[in-house]
Amino acid sequence: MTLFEIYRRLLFLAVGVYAVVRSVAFIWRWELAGRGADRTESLLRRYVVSLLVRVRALRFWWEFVQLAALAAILVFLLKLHRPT
Amino acid sequence: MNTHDSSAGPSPSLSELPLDELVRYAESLGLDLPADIAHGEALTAVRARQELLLELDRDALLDVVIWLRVPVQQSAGREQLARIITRQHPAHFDGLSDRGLHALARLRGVTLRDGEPRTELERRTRKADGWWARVRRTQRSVLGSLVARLVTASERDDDYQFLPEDGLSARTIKRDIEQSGLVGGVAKRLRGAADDYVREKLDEIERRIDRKLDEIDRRLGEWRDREMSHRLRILKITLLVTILVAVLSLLYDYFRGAS
Repeated sequence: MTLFEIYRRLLFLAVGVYAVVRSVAFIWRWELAGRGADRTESLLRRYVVSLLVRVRALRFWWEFVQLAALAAILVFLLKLHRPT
Repeated sequence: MNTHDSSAGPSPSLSELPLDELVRYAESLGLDLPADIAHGEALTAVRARQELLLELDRDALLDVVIWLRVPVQQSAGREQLARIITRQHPAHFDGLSDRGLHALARLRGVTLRDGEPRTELERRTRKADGWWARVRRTQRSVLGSLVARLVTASERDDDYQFLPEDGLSARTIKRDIEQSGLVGGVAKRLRGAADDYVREKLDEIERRIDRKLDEIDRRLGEWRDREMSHRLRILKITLLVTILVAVLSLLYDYFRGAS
């Protein structure tokens, strides 16, 4: 295994672990916030849901197009890699 | 059917009550008996009033109390309603329902006649209020006219007058003083004005709270859009860096294969 291979695998491991930990923490925080049965918490939860539902996705269409293009380029580059 | 208030309930035998208690009980039924009345007469009057209260429709009595605008609990009994009504001496009956007028007339001891016009019943009811009550009413009417002239002196007769908004506004201060006396009439007016003021203020506070809530909602919406835009930018940067690493990796593979 070459030095670059080691770097690639270590990077994958570090970034992967970081992404998983952050995502789990995020979901856990929201789960805790949404679990409260208090009237105020329930009201706040419903308000947050309504706030999210009212997001106008078309407002971010350009960002979505850019993300789709970048994702397509990434998939293409990954396909160009030779199987090791 | 129980027509007695819990606070003024009769003893098991009405005839055994001493005269002073009988007179007090009569007062609780809205009867004003003279102090020197004989026991038998008081007993007869109380029994007659009890029978009358049993015959009268409670809703009709409630109509009168509402029309008089006297605060009362919705569950008030016949005796309490009768007591309130007999304390008031209205001479004008505009806006009072027919059944209310009938109840009021009967409480004043007027006998109802079949097919009698309302105006005639009103006249007889007014007359049945007693001579002294009429004198007092005239006196209050004069006083009410004076106060009304003082209060509305600034309004000229040739000024344009809008139609009254509701029944209360249509009542003049003169009419209020005539019915409830100087202090009572002015107090009623002031209470109405205070109610209007409080209602207006409450509406204003409600409107202010609504405006604040809308403002908070708008700001939260802006914050949500900013946050979403920020997250998308981070995602884009992450993808760009990943692409860069993929290109480097591809180049590395290419040069390694070439060497």
